[in-house]
Amino acid sequence: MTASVRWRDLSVALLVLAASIGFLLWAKTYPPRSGAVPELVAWATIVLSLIDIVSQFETPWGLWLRRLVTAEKIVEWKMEGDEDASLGRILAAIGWVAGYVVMLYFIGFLIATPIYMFLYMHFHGGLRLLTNLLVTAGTALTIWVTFEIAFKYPLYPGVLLGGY
Amino acid sequence: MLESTLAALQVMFTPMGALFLALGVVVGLVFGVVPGIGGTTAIALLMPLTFGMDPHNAMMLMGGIMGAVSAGGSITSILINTPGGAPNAATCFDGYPMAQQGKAGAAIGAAAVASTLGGLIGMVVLVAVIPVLKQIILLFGPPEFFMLSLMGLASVALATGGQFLRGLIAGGIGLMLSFVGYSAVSGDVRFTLGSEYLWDGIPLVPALTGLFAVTEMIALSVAGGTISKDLSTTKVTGVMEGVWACFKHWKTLLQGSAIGTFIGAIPGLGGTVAAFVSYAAAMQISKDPETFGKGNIEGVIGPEAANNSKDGGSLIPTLAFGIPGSAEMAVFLGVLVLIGIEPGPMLLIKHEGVMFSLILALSASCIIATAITLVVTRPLAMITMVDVHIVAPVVIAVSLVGVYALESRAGDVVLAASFGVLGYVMMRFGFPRITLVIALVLGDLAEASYHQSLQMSGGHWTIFFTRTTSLILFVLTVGCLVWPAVQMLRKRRRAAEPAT
Repeated sequence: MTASVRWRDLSVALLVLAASIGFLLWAKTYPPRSGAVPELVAWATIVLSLIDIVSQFETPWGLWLRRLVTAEKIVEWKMEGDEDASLGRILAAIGWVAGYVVMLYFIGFLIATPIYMFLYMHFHGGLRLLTNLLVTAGTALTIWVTFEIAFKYPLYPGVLLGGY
Repeated sequence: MLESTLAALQVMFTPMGALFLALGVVVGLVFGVVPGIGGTTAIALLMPLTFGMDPHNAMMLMGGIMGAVSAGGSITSILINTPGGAPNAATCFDGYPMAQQGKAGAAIGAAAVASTLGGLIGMVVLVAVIPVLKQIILLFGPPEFFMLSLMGLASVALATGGQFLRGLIAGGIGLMLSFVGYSAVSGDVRFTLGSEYLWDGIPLVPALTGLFAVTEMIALSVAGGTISKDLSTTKVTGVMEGVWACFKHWKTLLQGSAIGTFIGAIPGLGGTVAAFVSYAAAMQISKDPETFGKGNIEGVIGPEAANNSKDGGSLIPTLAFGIPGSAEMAVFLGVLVLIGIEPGPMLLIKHEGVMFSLILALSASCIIATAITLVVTRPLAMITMVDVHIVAPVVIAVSLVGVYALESRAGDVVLAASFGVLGYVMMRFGFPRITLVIALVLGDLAEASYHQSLQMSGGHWTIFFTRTTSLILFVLTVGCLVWPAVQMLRKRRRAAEPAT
């Protein structure tokens, strides 16, 4: 954020505007009966995004709009430290989820889940080895017993082990 | 209605019914105690387990969770000044000072009983208005449902306070996502990027699991550490003193319950608003207002009664019109889909028995959760000492397995994870997830009602303004949209007035 423009919020508003315009053009490719309401929604979102964009500038218009669209904020409890989280930490947290999903695709739930949990708790959480092993084994065992044994429900085995 | 109540009672006393209710209460208490997770995540996490389950048993599980969450959340508000969820934040103001004065037991006793009685009062009001609601639903046609969908979105966006504009934008994005797949009106396949997986639209359950369970876990993972540091100095004694205080301050209790039920019935205004309004109202009728914030037990009773009674209120729009009043209710609508019940205006008419199972489970859960809270307060509070890096991978793994188990589609897992990331990005940039979810749920209804209305009128859009109920709903929608501007003008006028 600089003195004249709130860059962080402006970039998100521009992204939403671009997505809305893209959706509008896409909606126009469908027959009127299928595209009418989507077009209407896209136009409304475009107008709202434009208001959002203008309100990010520290000009009289921008300030007026910002005041106009923000009612008194409801008290919302937030976890301490989350607000100041570094980009690296955020990407790491998202990366662990993405990594787990990729592992699931290749080696399935029963192998990927303990590997993901162990690696996450070891490298991201820095937990003691014993705690890590107990939680990993406990969760993996619970999932296996619940789905494969009790419900007789085969979990996805992964493309490398016969999944599709 | 009596028949439905008796049938629900029978289900509750079967071994399976009792088991699911007990499981729901335990899960609700645990998730209520851990700050930052809450009832929505608990319902999202257990939602896949309800697939194919007997609808009555599923209601026992969900009612158990919903009724117990706020009881769990009040414990940490009082003992460690950290609310289990946003609606418990108002309890901190006087609950924590009471704990510091060695009256933690009294505060917990008062919170537990106020919460139970508030919840029961909310349920009584809900049962009382059901016959009237049924008559109102039958008066609604497509134009009214279209306007009601718009009003639901606008009022939810308005309730997000400082995020009003971005709430509306998130609603727009949610509507766009709801158009993916087959059009119910024309039968065309739209916006699928050529993916057969998306032909049936964005599946609601994986999307909701991602937006709530996965998003919250990413947030916990980023924050790190443990939620609380030290409980060793807190003593829990004098619980009965708090229990009796609820009866002594019965006016505060009744007032809080009434506020909670009323505010809960307005889409978007959830337990947080109810609790804070009730706190302010309790201060106004108190004989001792100057001690509020310093450990006045009325400051615990008012918000806790409102916090739990809002459940009864928020079920009114959810059951009557299929308009979810809160994120928790939106996820609950996903549960209904899973058990084969179509959410919408006919819900209360076609499935009255199942809904009474929910109402009964919610009422029973309030009582059971209170009893457990009073007995095992300290061990429950110890849950907050668990490292978040243990909680996060466990919840992510269990929720993704659950999502896959629904329909054995690997795509559902990818979708849930993607919505988890989307939810986190929205959270960081001030886009409320609740409006996106409500739009995702309401999109189909809004589009179908729009086209049906135009068919009824021969293509004249004036149909939305020539029917009285539709016009009233339109005026209310416009009211929601211009309200922030009205507030700004009022503030300016007040600021411009010379000090007298």
